[in-house]
This record gives sequence, C-alpha cells and structure tokens, in this order.
Amino acid sequence: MDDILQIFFQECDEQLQELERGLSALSDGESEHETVNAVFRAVHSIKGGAASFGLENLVRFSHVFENSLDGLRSERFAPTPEVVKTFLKAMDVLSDLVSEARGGNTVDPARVAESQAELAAISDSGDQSAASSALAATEAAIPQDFTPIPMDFEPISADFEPVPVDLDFGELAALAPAALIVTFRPHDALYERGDDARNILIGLTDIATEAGGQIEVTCDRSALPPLADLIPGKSYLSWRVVLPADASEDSANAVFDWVSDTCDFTLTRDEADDTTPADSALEHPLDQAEPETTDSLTEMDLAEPHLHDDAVAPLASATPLVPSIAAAAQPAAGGVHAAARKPEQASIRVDLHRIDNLMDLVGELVIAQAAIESLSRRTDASGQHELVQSISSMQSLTRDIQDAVMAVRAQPVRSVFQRMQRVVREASSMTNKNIVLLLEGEDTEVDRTLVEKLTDPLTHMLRNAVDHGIESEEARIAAGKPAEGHIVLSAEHRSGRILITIKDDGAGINRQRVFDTAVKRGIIPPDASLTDEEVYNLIFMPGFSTAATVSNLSGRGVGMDVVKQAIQSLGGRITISSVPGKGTTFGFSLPLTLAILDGMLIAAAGSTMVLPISAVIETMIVNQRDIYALPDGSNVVSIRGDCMPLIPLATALKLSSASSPESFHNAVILVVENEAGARAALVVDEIRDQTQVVIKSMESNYRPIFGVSAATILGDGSVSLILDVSALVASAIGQIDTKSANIRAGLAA
Amino acid sequence: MTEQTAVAEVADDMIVKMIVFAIGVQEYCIPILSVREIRGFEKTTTLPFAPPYVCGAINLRGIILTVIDLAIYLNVPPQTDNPRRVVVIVESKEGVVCGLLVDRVIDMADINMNDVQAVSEEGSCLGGLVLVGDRMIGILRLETVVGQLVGDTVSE
Repeated sequence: MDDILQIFFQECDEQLQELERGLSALSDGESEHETVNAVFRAVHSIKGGAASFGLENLVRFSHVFENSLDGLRSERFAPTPEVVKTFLKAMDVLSDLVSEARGGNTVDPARVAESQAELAAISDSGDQSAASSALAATEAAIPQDFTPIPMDFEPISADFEPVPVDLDFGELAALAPAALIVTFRPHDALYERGDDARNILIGLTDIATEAGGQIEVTCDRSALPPLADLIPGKSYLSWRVVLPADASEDSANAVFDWVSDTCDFTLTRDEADDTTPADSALEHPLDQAEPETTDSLTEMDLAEPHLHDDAVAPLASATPLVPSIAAAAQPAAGGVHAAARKPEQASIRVDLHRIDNLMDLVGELVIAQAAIESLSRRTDASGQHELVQSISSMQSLTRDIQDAVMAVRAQPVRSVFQRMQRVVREASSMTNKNIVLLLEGEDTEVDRTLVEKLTDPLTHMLRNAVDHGIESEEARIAAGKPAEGHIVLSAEHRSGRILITIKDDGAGINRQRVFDTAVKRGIIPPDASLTDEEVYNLIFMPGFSTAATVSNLSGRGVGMDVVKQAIQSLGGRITISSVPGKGTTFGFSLPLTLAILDGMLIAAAGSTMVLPISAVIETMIVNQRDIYALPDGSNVVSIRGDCMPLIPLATALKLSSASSPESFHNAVILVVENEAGARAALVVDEIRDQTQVVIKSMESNYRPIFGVSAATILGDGSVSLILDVSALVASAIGQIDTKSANIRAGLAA
Repeated sequence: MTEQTAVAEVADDMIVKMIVFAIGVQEYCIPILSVREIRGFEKTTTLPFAPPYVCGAINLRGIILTVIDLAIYLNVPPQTDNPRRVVVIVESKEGVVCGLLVDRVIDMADINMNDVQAVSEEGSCLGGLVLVGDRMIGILRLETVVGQLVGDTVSE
C-alpha cells in the first residue's frame, strides 16, 4: 500500500510539472486545444489517484479545479491572463495539498477556500452566460454560502456541464464506503483438525464490532447434496460475509492466518449495491444478521441518487455524504501518516535505453575480463603485449561505464527551474511587481544531487532579483522600459560544466551604493580602489545588504553570502555582470557531477596531490629571468607579459620551509585560475599524470583544511589531497577573498 | 571516555571492558566498544596545517581518516622504528572515525569504574587512573582527543 502511495506521489510530481508547463504555455498566449487538454488531464489524474487513496482534501480541491478547467476546455471562457493567474494560484495550492498528503506542512484552509472561491467564480462567469437568469441567480448565491466550508463538493458547475456529469458522479460513487466482502470455503481438512467455520465467523464478527458495525453473513448451500448422499465430515458449505467498510483487510486476513492452508478465501472491496441480499435465492441471512447493516447499505445506495439532486438541494445531499466519505478515508489516511514517518525513499526515473546501454557495457566488461584472464595465463611475449592492449581497452570501457552511470543519474534541471516559477510568482505578488520568468534550457541535464542542491541558491537569487533587481513599475515606466519585468533563468552546458544564468532587465547594480554600504559595514576601507567586478562581488560578503528596508523577501543581509557558500561547496563559481539601467546577470558555473573529478596528479613536498583540471590553464617550465622578487618575500612571474603571483605549493601548504627565488629556476609551474578569473602560478615538483579521481570528503572525520577541498584515493590505495585552487589563488592575490580565506586559514592553523 | 558516560553504558554493573595499549612505558586504555579494528601502521599522507600529532590521512576501505600519533599527543618520544606500532581505529560517539597510533597493544582488561581515581579536571585527555594488578593504567578520554581533531578550538 505504501509503495503504491509513493508511486502516486511521484506521479503527482510529474503531473504537477505537466500542469506547470501547460499553464506557462497558456500564459504565453498559446491556447491550443492539446495544451488545455494536457492541463485538464494532469488535474484529473491527480484527482483520480487521490480518490483511490481517500485523500479527501486533495480530491475536493482538484475536483473544483477540474471543473473550472473544464469550462476552459469546453471554451465557455477564454484563457485570459486573469484566468491563467487564478489557475496558477490554484496549482500552487494543489501542490501544497499534495505535499500535505505526503506528510508535509498543513495547508491553511483559508487559502484553499480562497482559491476554490476564485475557481468557482471563473466557472460561474462562464456559466452565467449560458444559464437561465433565475437559475443562475440561485447558483450564484450558493457558492458564497459554501466556499468557506471546506466540505463542499461544489456541485454547481457540474450541474451545468453537459459532458462530465457521469464521470464526476462515477468518481464520487467510488468515494462512498466500499464494503469488505469475505468469501471462504473450508476444506475437509479444516474440520479434520477440529477447527470450525464458526470460529472464523466469530473472528469476523469481532472485526466488525471493532469497526463499529455489524456483519452480514450468507451461506452458500448449493453444493449440499441430499441427506441420503451426504458424507459426514465432508465440507459442503461456503460463506459470504459482508464487513463494514471500516474493517481493514489486514485484520480480516489475520482471521484466516491459522486456516490459510485448509480454507479457500477471498477478500474484496466492493460497491455496496452489489451486495443486495435479495439478489440471490441461495443466500440466507444468518442470525447475527442485518437489520442495521441493510439500513446502512440502503443509505449508501441512496447516496448516489441524492447527488443527482444536488443542484436543487446541495446542502441536504452533501451532509449525509460527507461523514461516509470521511469514514472511508480514515483507514487510508492512517496509512498516509505511517508512510510519512518513514524516511522518504528516493527514486528516479531513467530512460530505458540508458539502462540498456549500461547493460551492454557491463556485458562487454565481463568479456574483457575473461579475455584478460585467459591472456594472463599465456607466458610468451606476444601474450604480454595483448594483455597490455586489453587492459587499455578495459580502461576505456570503464570510462564508458562511468559515463553511462552518470547518464543514469543525470536529470534535467526542469524540476528545479519550474519550481522557480512559483518563487517568482509569490515574490512578485508580495512586492506588487509584474514580473515574468522565462526559462531556457530546462532540458540541460546534470547530476541528480546537484539538481537538488540548486533549489535553495536559486530561490535566493530569484527572490533577490525580484526584490532588488527589478525596479517598481513606476520606475520602469519612467525609465522608458516596459512595465512588466523580465527575468531569464537559463541553463547550458559549457566545456564540461553547467552554466546557469539569472538575468534580469532591472536597474543594474548601483556601484556607488554597494561601495558605500560596504564601507559603512566595515567590509572595505573607504579609500579602497576596486574594479567593477570586485565591487559587485561585495554583495556576496556576509552581512551585506543594500536594501533600505527589510522586506519579507530579502534585506536581512543573509542570503547572498549563503548563496555563494552553497555554490562554492558544489565546486561552482559565481560571476556577476551588470549594466546600469539595463540589468544584472548572475552566472553560476557548476561541475556536472559531484562525485568524480578530472584531475592532474602533481607532486609537491614528496606527496602526490590532485588539481582539478578545469582550473589549470597551462603548464610550463619557468625561466629564472621571468621571476621578480617582491620586497615582502613573495615572487611574481611574468608569462607573456602577464604578471601573476608565484605560489610555491609546498610552502603555501606549510609542508616545507620557504624557498629562495633561485630554486624556481626550471621549476614546473601550472597557471591556474579561480572563479573570478584571477590567475596565479603554482610551483610544483613534477606533473605525474592526468586521471579521473573519485571525490571523498575529509570533513566528516577531520576539520576543513585551507587550500584542500577534498581527498581521493589513488590506484595504489594511498590518500591524495585535492587542492582548492580558488582559495590558494585568492590568498596569493590578497583579493577580497582573503578575508574568508584567512578565516579558513585560522581554522586550519 | 568520562566516568559518567561509562557508568551509563554499564548500568547494571560497573565493569567496562577496555583495550590496553602502551605509549612509551605508560599504559593507557579505552573502552573496547569504541574500537573498530586494529591494523598495521602504513604510510600516511601528510596533511597541510595539521597539528604535529596528526600523522596524516589513510584510506580505510574507501573512508578517509586521520591518524593521531598518541606518543606526540601525550608528549612522549615516538618510537619510530618500533615494528609493533599499530593503529587502533576508533569511532567516537559522534561518529567520527580516526586512527590512534600506539606503540603496542597489550591486552584487554575488565575495569571497574568504581576503582578509577580521577586525576584531572574536565577537558583533559586523561579521564583517570586505575590499578590493574600492580599496573597503573591511564584511561584515555576519547571524546577529548577526537574532538580536538574535528573541532576548531585546537591548542597546538
């Protein structure tokens, strides 16, 4: 049951994405029938699934939503921006209700009611033109009475729809409590063991009493021969027992625990009207029987006819229906809570061809391994040569498998990007701005773990763009820009990394204000001379916020530095560019995976270390005459006219004592670059190899080390450190980053 | 391991099984339940900015952990050429795994926590002293040692 529920929630996520996509298309002015249908289908599937799990809040809301969407589908009203906006809001409520059902936060009923009222208003506006005036007046009066009551089924619009009436009522009937029907036929062996069918019946009666109802038992005597042919000790009878809807399958199963091998039995949930006792002449009610049960059955039967009267007397029908639905929902709801307590099982959907591809590669690996095994038994020289060859082919195979596994883990960034639509929607309504978020490259795939970790930084950034980036409507019009602000969120692959950009068409970063604030906050001295890029980077300093007032969204000075930390911890870099009056662009450059890194193996102070190859610009042997010693003991090197600090790696990591400038002659240097584009030259003992390494965290068992981002295990089993190039470069350059680097260095020392 | 926590672990009686090892001439012990395994000392990878008592990092079946030279930590001359030096892999209550390089492992002992004589204030790495036969054994406070390794309040 829990498994199925999990699948349902996964499907809900997909349907919600589908819904988001469809509604976005609608708001972009696309009103194709297929889009509307897709939106309708998404809500309908959620409703259908929720109904079968008895998630009544979800069912009720999606039902109202669906009704409104049906108006759109049958073209009773057009998808005007207002209508789409209401639908978007309803979608947010719906997705919150889904997470509520999943065990998340409870949704404020007022919000649900409000959205329901809005949806009802939409369908009403469509209906009123079609309906006769007298009836329309009655209908219009009802929603106002009803919407505050969350138990309302909103029958109004259903009444006016020609097509979906059957469909809707069919599902409402499915909501009515389904009686649990148990049939069993004991084998001869059951009686031979001294057991009795009576014990089973007593057990079932107990269940019914626990569930607050009674059982209805019918005996099937069709197999009973005439008395003359009757063999004593042979089992001829079978029973059919109708338990109240509240009774759980599990407890009924438990009754048959001891007799499962000596008795045929079935458990079914069935519609109440299937079980009308009068149907069969063979059924004879037993003594525990049924006056009350039949009554309740009749009542259930009547529930459906009641519904047809809804338009006339909605209140009257809703009242008897609601408790029975609540009762039906109860066991299922209990299950939901149990599921919520368990840690959520993460799962992903993977294209079949990717799995097939992986399977093929594994097959090849097995063959290659067999080949190597047979070759290794040969002792002649040519065998040796072939062995080396097969090992190298196995190497490329391993890399292919690694790529294939990564492809399995890869996920499009769409899921995160679409969530951002909502962030922008909520933030812009809070700030009373009219802002459209455009998504580009949602199909760009990145590692799953990365996708998840992008949500928080992106939320921060987008809220910030809405709050600070885009100006108020008046200011925009005054600046000659369209009143509607635009934010573009895009993703693309660029040279083995993923580049995510957030571009707004706002006023741009006010350089002077940022500078002044940084001085005021004591982040920089008043006489500091900084480039534009450096000034913009100040907004990522802890405790920095230029917003004059603290708003709900931002302005507390937390956020941007958190974003930077989050992106850096993912191995990413942030770039900012801003044109006054035109807008600001933030770029996140992130590695495709967090698990594996292309690295260059270098040696320094006798140990092997790994440099991320993405940070290495070039390698060369330095000439003594290009090195200039500075008065403070550090050195700079001039490479084709560019001067950059020379960092002797072993000394920088305090693994050996300071070296004299002379020792740099003919030394191997690596030109490395940090995220801001600042370069430095690392002096190493030698370059050993280029390889892929698996990233292992050190921080779980040790504290963070300055200059080291993680560690890895080399082929010989020894530990090798992965260098944090940006920290090394930043500390050498004495850039703005030095401050945080010093803190880190302080921690390490 | 403080006395209090050790007491909590053996509520019914006060006997705690300890593993006894030697650093220099002095014997120390730690609760055997915190020991994951004992392995030979192999080459470690030197860590930058590490305190002198941290030998470096080793790979324990895919987990990277640091090895502490207890001799240096306890200000005893390290016996670098002693072939019996082994690394005791311990796991603290917080789940931090690290290796303790000791000069030799001696045996196990059942230590009655009531016999432990407290020697120093809170926060020291030595939890107390206990007499087993005629041997005076120091009880090492693992949490202090490991806490210094992970924490940011390091006194070098």
